Amino acid sequence: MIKNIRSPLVYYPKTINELLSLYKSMPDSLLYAGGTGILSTRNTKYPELPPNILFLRRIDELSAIRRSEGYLEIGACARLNRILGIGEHVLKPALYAAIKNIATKEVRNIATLGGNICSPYRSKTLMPLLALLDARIELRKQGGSRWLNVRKFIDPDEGFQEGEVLTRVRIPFNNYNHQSFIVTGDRADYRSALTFACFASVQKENIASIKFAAGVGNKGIFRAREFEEALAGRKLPLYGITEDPVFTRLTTALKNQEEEISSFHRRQIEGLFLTFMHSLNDML
Amino acid sequence: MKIDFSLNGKKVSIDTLPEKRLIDVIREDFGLMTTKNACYSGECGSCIVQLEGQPVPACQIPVFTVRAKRIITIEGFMGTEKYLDIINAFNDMKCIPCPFCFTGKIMAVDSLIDNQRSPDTSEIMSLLSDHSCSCTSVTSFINGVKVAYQNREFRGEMLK
Repeated sequence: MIKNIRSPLVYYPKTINELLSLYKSMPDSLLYAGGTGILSTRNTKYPELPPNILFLRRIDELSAIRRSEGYLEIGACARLNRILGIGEHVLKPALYAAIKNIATKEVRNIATLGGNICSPYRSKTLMPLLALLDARIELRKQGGSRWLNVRKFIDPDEGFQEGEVLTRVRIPFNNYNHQSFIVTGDRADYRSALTFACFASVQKENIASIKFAAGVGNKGIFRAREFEEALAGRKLPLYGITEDPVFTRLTTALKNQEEEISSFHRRQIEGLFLTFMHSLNDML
Repeated sequence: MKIDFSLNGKKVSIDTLPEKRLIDVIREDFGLMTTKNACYSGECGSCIVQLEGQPVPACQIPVFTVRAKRIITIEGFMGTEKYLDIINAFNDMKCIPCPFCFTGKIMAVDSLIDNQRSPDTSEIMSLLSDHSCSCTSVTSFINGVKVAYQNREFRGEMLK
């Protein structure tokens, strides 16, 4: 039987207003920027795409990168290699490493920041890190816009509403003097990927503040705030932390996530956190 | 859908399905067969072309996105002195990529040495790890890239 195939119609809006108006009239259309998440998961000669495509790359405003005193503002369609071009001294080591870790250099020439945040097909490598950085995203629709914390964006009740488009990501600068970002697992299979990010501010051999986040595949973000609060103010070096009662808060918090995080990934998170703590001890 | 773009310096126009991948357009519609396709997922690095001067995997680009853009394939790149910098260095260092990864590695090396500074070994290793084909000897590849950079730098100085 021959399937009735209709080729998609492509629209090339040049301004955000034009885009929002088109999206309102065609809410089922596909927002297409880099498209690496879409095409890499459809390994066929002719990838099946929805009937209407809104191509975002002709909208200059969506690719703009601005730097102000307190934060960096990146357009959702800014290519990842262009963001890396800002430099490690501005992005800070963890964010720089996180972006550099995504795919190959050639893929980063087309992949966008918005794609990493929105794509349901790939591991959202940057999400735990953006959550730690208290990044905010701008969602716009015709007639209004709102800023949302990345942590809330993951919540299905607070995330995208009909007609909304991710336009900008605002990342505040931070002063954490120890930063770590690690991705484990198979690049080709996003479900196995574990993303781990940890920041600590150490002053006069004391942990002034520490926070970490982990994400498995494209699921939510794991945080253990009680554990972070308990560690703040502790004096370094911290030896034998696994025997410390504080550490049980982490294991308990992880155990509460049994349905979301497998035992293998839970052990990995514990291990990565301990490695980070050892690196803090070694800094002294 | 009719799409106009520049291919290897010539303005071309094609009437095709918009979702057709650039790699298939290059190979099937324009008969430029040196650029290979292996994975359709952007992982292998064998289908790299230059889009607006930047190396990109052609299998990850549907043709509707290249409207009014400038594309250079390895066939277009072969006629340049930049290509000679690399191929002469590879020949001198006995670095011979197989026909499948040849295009991708040459295009990626060009982008690396175009940064106006000498690439270090870790950068070259990172480039090599982005290509799944392991036909080339690592040592000869590293030496080849370093000599290619020297060739380009020398040619640049001669031009000055």
